Amino acid sequence: MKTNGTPNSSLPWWWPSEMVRIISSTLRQGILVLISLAGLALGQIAIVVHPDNPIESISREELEHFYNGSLTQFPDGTTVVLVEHNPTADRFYQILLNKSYIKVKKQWIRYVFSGRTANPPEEISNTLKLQEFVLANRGAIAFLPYEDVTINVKFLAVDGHNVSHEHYLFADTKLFTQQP
Amino acid sequence: MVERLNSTAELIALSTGVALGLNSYDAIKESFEWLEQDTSIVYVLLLGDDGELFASYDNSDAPLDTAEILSHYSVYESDEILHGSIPIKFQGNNYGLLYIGYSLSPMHHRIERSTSLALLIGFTILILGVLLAYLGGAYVTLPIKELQTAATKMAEGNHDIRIKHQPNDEVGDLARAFNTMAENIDSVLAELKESEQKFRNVTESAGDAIIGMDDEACISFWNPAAERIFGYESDEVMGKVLHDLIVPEKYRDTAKMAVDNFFLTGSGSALGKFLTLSGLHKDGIVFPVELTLSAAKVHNKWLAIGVIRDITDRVRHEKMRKGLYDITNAYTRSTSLEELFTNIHTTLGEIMDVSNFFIATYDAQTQLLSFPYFVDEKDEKPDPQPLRHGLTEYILRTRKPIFINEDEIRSLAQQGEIDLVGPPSVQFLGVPLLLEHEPIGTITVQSYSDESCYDLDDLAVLEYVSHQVAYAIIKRRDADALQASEEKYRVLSNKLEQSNQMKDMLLDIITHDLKNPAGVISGVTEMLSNEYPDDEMIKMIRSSSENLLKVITNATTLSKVSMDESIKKKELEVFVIVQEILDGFATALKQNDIRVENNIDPEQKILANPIIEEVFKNYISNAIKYAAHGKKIVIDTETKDDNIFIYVRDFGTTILEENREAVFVRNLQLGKTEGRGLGLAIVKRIAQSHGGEAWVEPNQPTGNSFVLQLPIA
Repeated sequence: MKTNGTPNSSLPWWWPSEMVRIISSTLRQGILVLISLAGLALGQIAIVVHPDNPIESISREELEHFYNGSLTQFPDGTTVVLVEHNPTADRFYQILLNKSYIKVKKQWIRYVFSGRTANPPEEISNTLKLQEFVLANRGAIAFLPYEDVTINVKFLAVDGHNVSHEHYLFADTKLFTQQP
Repeated sequence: MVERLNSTAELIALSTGVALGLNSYDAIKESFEWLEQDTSIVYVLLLGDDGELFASYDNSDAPLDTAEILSHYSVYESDEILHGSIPIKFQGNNYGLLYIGYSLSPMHHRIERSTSLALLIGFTILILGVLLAYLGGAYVTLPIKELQTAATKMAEGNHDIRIKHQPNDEVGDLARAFNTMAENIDSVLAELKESEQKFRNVTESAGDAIIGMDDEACISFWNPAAERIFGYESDEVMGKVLHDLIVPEKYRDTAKMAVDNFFLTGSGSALGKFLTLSGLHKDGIVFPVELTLSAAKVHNKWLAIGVIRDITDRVRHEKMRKGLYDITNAYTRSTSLEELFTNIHTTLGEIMDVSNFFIATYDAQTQLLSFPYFVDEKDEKPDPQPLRHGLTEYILRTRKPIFINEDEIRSLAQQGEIDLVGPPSVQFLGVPLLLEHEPIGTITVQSYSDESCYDLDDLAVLEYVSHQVAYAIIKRRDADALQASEEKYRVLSNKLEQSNQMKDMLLDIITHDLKNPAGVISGVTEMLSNEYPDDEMIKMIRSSSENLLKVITNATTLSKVSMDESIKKKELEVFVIVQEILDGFATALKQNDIRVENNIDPEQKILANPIIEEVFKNYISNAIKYAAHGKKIVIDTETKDDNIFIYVRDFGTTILEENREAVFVRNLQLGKTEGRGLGLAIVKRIAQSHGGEAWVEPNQPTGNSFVLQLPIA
């Protein structure tokens, strides 16, 4: 396995080149933190389905079951086609499953390797294409930023709260304040 | 083994990397299916970079000792399983490690089995080997024999032969190769046949003679066009020496030398060029040909192919074209008819025999036939003569070209169409000179000795020439006529000039020499009548002399207006003009107690010649004369459309409708000078010369309104 040591690690911290390295890496990390916090400041995440899907509302539990692969059918028997929007996926899975996106992906790989019939989510990053995909698949369920919904897809309320409600599961998050 | 392990591991690691890095699970699904089918893979473990074992595939019989596996970092073997690990990487990201176990037991079993079977197999092979030596020998030679037979048949020309027996070995390959070769030969032969057919089609339909000559200068190819051009059938010439047949005798030696040189060296001056030469027909006629020669070396021998075109017609047409060009040129070059005729005669001489050539012209007025150009071997140039009954007159009558021989001339004479005039010709070619289908002469060539002197082409040339000559003659006549009419015009215009001068002189006399004495007479009689107011004679003289003066003045004015085709106009103020005239009439107005209302806008301007004041003078003096005593005269203007209307209204007696036009008509009867007579005629004339009009209409409630209409500039 790889070691994390760098060739210059033997140098003292006051060595000019070492200082430049430390400062620049600190700065870089700081910027990354800022960017990720900014990402948290995004608005509501909408849960959408095909307009013909009779379902109007979904419980958090059902949504969890859909996205961790343990439920594969809607109440009316339609097979679920999972769709995920990247980069919304990170925040979505954090809120819903309390798992990182990479963890969720590993979980799907585990399902595949254990021989389970697994239908992992279709990842689509273009929101327009994502909505077109939903309109083309009767069993599709997808999440995407609420502000990016432009086509006539159907919003689902979660636990009886619709997307603009303040207690909506994926309500907008203020900068520097995280959901507990 | 290790390689196989590695490639399997790499595939799964890559598809895992794709799932994690690209969020696409298709590859991992597929590699899992593939994994399941490979029974020799015992397990696959996926360890995340966080140390968590996130996926595992287990195909082993015994429970998997995960801890033991994860503790190794390199390839190792245990319990007939080969263990290994590789990193899961994708696009530079490290996602962890993949562990794989590969079963070695199927291979171990194989090795054991093969050792025990080795001896048995050895024996079997030995026995089979002996058996095969016998059978194989027969089996191998069978197709070879067939191959040999086929090759022999093929050599004999049977191209349809194919080998049916094709064993799956080298002999079989040979058989298949043979069959391919046979097919190739077939297609090559078919192509050859086709190209031969094409060649035959081309040479047979060619318009040019295509002649082949072998290395002994003998004819080896002779196409149908060659038969037509040279008159020999193909059978007659094959194998004969080419030059003896188709080269005229005087060129034969030169040609033979060139050919000998060609066969020695393969090169020659004639190769690859267009040569214009003479050819010899079977009948002995020599005619112009164009030759292109190409050479080919076949079987180490030179072969010459000549393409020969009969250019008799072309040479002739070229000559004719040049002739026609020269004739056209002659026409533009010549300054007189005589020169043109001489030039045409010379030029025609290059195309045809013009030993006997004449141009005849017929003048319909004098009814004489003259010969402006006449060249003849037997005849003298005739003088202009009245029409007779010869061939020339026949052409003039029929207006058609004739091309006849002696017999036809005689038969025409027998039919009474012509009389035989002059020495008899054996060929006569005559064309009418036509002007708008009317014959004005003929142009003729004839021969007294050669019966095949002319042909239809010559007739065509002569017809072309006839147009040129006819046109030239007409142009000359037109030029003469033009000169005559110019002369006539000049005389007329001289006369006109003279009469114009006379008129001017007369006018001058009238205006000055007549007007002055009349003025004197008038002045003197006025004095006389003042002295003897009751003398009727003096009154008469006075009135007459005043009228005379008025007539002279009017006549002068009228002639001024009549003469000037276009009058000079300038901007004038109507109000001022009228006011000045009214001032002039002040005494008369006072005597008659007439009041004048001048309603003309002082700003109103018109574009007119100053002579326009004559109009107002006339209108106002008339109004004074005819307005009732104590009444008024009203003058006003009106602008309508592009015209200005000026009205002079009186309130006297209204002129009857039937007389309204008459008052404007010129009336020169001196006895009726009391009327509005000449004055208003001038008014009308002046108005019209300005593009306007003058008339009278009734005034309300009584009297007349004299109108002058003028266009606004």
